[in-house]
This record gives sequence, C-alpha cells and structure tokens, in this order.
Amino acid sequence: MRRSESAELRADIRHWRRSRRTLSLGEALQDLYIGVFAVLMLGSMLVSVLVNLSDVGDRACVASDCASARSLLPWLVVGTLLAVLWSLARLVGPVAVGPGAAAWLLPAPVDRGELLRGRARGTTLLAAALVAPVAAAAATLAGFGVGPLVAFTVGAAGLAAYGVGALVRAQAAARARHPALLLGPVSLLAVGAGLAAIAASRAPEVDASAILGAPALVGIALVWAGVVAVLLRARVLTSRLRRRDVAPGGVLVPGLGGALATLDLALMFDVLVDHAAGRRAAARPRRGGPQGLAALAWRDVIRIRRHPARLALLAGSLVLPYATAAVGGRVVVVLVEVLVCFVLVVPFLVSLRVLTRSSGMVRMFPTAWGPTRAAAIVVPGVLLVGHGLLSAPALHRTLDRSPGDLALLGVASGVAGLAAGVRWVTGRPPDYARPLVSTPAGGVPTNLYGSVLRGFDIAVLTALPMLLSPTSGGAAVSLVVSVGVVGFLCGRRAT
Amino acid sequence: MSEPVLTVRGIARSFGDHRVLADLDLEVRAGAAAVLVGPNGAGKSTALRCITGADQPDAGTVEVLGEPLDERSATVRAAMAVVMDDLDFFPDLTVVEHLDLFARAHRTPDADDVVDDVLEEVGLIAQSGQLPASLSSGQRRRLALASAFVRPRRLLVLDEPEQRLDQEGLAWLVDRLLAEKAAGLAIVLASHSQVLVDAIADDVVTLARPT
Repeated sequence: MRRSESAELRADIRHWRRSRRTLSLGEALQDLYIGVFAVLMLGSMLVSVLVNLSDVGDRACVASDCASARSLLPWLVVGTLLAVLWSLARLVGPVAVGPGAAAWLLPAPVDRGELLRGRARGTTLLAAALVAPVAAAAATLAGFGVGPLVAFTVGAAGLAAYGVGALVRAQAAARARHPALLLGPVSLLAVGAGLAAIAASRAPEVDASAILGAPALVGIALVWAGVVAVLLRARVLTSRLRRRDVAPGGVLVPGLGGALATLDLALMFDVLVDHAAGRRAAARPRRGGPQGLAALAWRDVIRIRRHPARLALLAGSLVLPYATAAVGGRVVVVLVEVLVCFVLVVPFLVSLRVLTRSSGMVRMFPTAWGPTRAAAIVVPGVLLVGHGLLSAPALHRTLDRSPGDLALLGVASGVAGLAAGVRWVTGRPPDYARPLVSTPAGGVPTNLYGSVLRGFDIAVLTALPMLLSPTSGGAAVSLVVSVGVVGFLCGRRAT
Repeated sequence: MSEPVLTVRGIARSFGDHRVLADLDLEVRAGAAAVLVGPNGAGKSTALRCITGADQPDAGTVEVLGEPLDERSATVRAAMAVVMDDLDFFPDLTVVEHLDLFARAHRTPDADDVVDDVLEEVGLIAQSGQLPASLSSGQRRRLALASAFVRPRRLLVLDEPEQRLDQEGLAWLVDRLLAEKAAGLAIVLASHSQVLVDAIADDVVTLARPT
C-alpha cells in the first residue's frame, strides 16, 4: 500500500471542508455586505473620533506631566496588548491542533511540518494583524505625525509577530524554560515601569519623530527580518512539535469559542482555569490550617502561595491609580481603583466560582449557602481592602481631604471592586429555557447581552456615590451598596 | 428499636405534565440501609435530590433526625453526607487538599489521620498530589466517595456509588458500607448493582418508570 503524502492529506482536508460548505466565499461576502459596510463606516467614524480626540489632546494636555504621559501612551497600550497577546499565544500553543485533527492527522506517517507550517505562519501573521490597528489608533491619539505613525505601527506589528514566532520556537524546543516564555512578563514589567515613571512624575516626553531615526528603523527592519526567518523556518520548527505540545491548545480553543458564542465570560474563565490545572496536573500538597469555614478561606492562602504572580500583579497594579492621579485624574482615580480591583480580583475567586456553579460542592460544607460562599471571599476581600488603603495616598494628590476620609474612600474602592468581581463570578449563564428575543441571529435569551456588562454595572453603581461626592459620606454610601450586593449574591442559591 | 434518622412521607415530583415520582414512603433507622432500585428514569435520583434538599418535592414531607428537612439547617448539613455524582471539584486543589478541606470544615477529630486512612482505603495515596483534572474518571469517583468518609455523619446518601468503580473498588465499597452500617450509620442509596443491593440492603424500594 502506498503511503499518503502530506500534500494529499492537506488536499483531503480542503476537499472535506469544501464539500461541506453551503456558501462560496463570494456569496458569504454578499450576505455580509451590511457587515462590511458597517465595519467601513464605523471604522471611518472611529478614525475621525481619534483624530478629533488627538486635536483635543493637543490643546488640553499642555502640562508637563500630561504631555509626558501622552507621549508614552502608545508604548503603554502596545506593551499591554503584546503582554496579553503573547500570554494568550503561549496558552494556546501558539500552534494548536483540534481534537479531530489530533486524532487522525497527527498519527499519519508524513512530515508533520508540512501539515502544521500553515498554522504557525497564520498565527504569526494574525498577531501582526491584530496589533497593527490598535498601535495605529494609540499613535493617532498621542498625536504622532504620519511618518512616525506608520513606522510605529509597522514596528509594533512586527514585534507582535516576532514574539509569536519566538513562542513557536519555544514550543518546538519543548523546554520548560525558554527565553521566549519571558516575553509576556517582560512586556508587562516594561509597562509597569512606564506607569511608575508617570506616577512619580519622572516620565520623559518621548519624541515621536525619534522613531524615524536610523537606529529605530534598523531595529524595525531587524524585527521583520526575524519574522521572515520564522515564516521560512516554519516547516522545520513545526516538524519538531509533539502531539502533546499542540493537542491541549486545540481543546482549549473550541472550549473558549463555545463560551464566547454564548457570551458566557465566566464559563471562559472556567475553561482557562481547567486548562491551566490540566497542564499543571499536580502540585505540592499543603495540609493543615484552621477548622470550620476558616478552612475554606485558608485554601485561598494556599492558592496565593502556589501562584504568587497573581499577588505580584495585584500589588504592581497600584501604579495605575497613582499614574492617574499624576496626570490630573482627580476623582477618576476612584473609578480606576475600582476597575483595577474588579479585574484583578477575579483570579482570586476560584473557590467562589466553584461554589456558585456547583450546589453539590456547597452541600459538602456544614453551613448554609451564604456563610459558605462568604468564606470564599474573605482573603480576596482582605487583599482588596489593603489595595484600597494603599491607593489612598494617590487620592491625596488630587483631593484635599483628611487622612480618615481618604482611607475610607480607599477601602470603599477596594470593596466596590470586590462587589463587582463577585457579581462577575456569580453571574448565571444565559438561560435558553427563558423566553427568547427574536433577532436576525436567531432566538437570544434576554440575559445574554447583559452578561457582557456583568461586573461593570456594579463597578459603576458602587463607584458612583464616590464620584459624585468624594467624601467619607460618599464612601459610606458606596460601602453600604457594595456590602449589600455581596451579601445578596453570596446568599443566592447556587445554580 | 432506634429512632428513624430519615423519614419520607408521600413525596411526589413532576416536571410539567411529566410525573417522575409518586407517593414515595421511606424510613431509615440508624444502622440500616435502604436501597432504591429501578430502571433509568424511574425517579431514583429525583427521590434522592428531594431527600437531600437539592430539589423541592411537589407534595409530601422529609424529616431528618426528627426535624423537617431544611438544607440550610446546620444540624441537617452536618449530619447528612451526600455523594450524588462526581463533585465539581476545586480545579486548583490537590486530591489530599480536598479531603483535608472537608475534614477541617466539619471539624473532624484527628483530621490528618482520618484523611490518610481514607486516602489509603480508596487507593488514592499515589494521586494525593494530583489535581482533579489529571485523575481518571474512576479516580474522580473514588475521590467523591472519599469526601463523604472524612467527615462526621449520621446519614449517608449515595446515588449509584458503584458507577465507574472496578471490581476491586466495588468490593471496597461493599465492605465500607457494611462497616458504616455496623457503626450505626443510616444509609440511603440508589443502585443498579445487584451485588451492592444484596450485600447491604435492609429495605429495597423498587421504583417503576412512570407510564
């Protein structure tokens, strides 16, 4: 019997896909013409808004601190985006193969590189395509001229692609420690350093035209040369990939896609946590600790010892309210603090998430729903109250209040972030058994679209009293609302 | 004769027009075991869900230790150990950390020794440092069962505990449940295993699929 060639297998896959299609690409685009027009129209409106905002920035942002921060904005935005993108790429693979293909394609006795090179190239170029528009938008907002804007965008896109290419190399090397794996954390550290410089009013004003200088242009050229090298070597690199390197990501992507299709963001969180646990597989067990419900809270302490990076990120995020205060954010500092606490508390709420989605697990504890779930927010709550207190001096920079008032505002901000996090984690999934709203996309549960705003609604609700009245009175009202929200959500019956 | 630990009087449950459970009576005393048997869809799991408070019967009453069932009651929660199916475990806690957590949450005396003994019994010593995602389905079942045995209990409610257990596991389960009975525990379980039913049942309740 003759062995199949990789080209034949690829042709088989192509044939399989084409034979099951119901529309040609042209027909799909014709059906999507409204979408295409909408994208073009909204895109042009967005560009117009960005240009206008840039003009406003030129006029309003004249103070030295503000001008410095504005000149750093594109670098901070792109740095954050790269950190997120590279972390996601590392999580997925970057090269991933779905369960079906992993079952029949990978065992085929053909050069694996021939089969997987397209995925490596596609992922690398996709990274560039994702970063380019965001980099261009950030550069526009910062008031870059056309030349620096183009150079910055090309450089950022190249850096994104180069990073993903380096991660493909790391994946092929299959080593637990590879320099490319540090790309995400290093990028995040650089962003943190930039924010710290802004917070300390020591940020330099970056001259955008410097990016057109010879060293910068050579750097951009070298980055793209690196990208081209990865694209050319994709076959060699991917031929080294083992099934266990590419299969887990292939399971993760459809899981995330399914959760995203129903806009169930908490389910996406579950998928990510389960994926991380599956990759880790084992941990050094830690036993002992207090008894009663305090034992449940103690598990959060164990988690922090196991994942210290989460705590480091929470601590590092303190630069955000300080940086906001440094650029004259005034009362907006409170909103920033609430949002930071909301977003960063979610990884600390794994216990609460399990106790929300599983009534069986709640029943394992000798107490009622409310106290059991309240125990799961003790440690995150303590962390956020500490975060809030440490952010209080940032408020002092922009608001003339007594230390007691500032401390109360800080605590209320932390608790508001906790309330928003609890709301996000305890959200119920879209219920398709409820009456559906008819839409062009089919029947949609009434709570589907609201799920995207979940958490942010409570963040705004609890921050509002402090934004309207940044005094101890506003903080007290916010605290009452936050505690009420947390009490209600924790006492609610599990799904 | 000892006092009843669990008393069920005439519970019924329907989903829409579909009647799943009709007029079920059950009384289980300390040191006795009642087993619900019947084909798939006969209402065994629904009955157990009503008994544990996970579901609300349309009619009838459930009493645990002489008190009307209220799953919020600390007395009931402390007395009733339930394994309905695989637990939705904490994904980032290891096998032994789960058992340690349950034992300490229930203030089990000598928690470390109890956890070690149960781990050895269920054959999960080697997996004690593993996270649930890396366990086989049989091992997850053993962990779920083990979680009921590391805590004080007077009533044990199990839904098809033999699921996914191998022969060795089933033999262990039979021995364990006999020991629980001998220690004065009341047991209610639903099962398709004739071996289990023959070995431990004092009272067999046969449920028929509703017509």
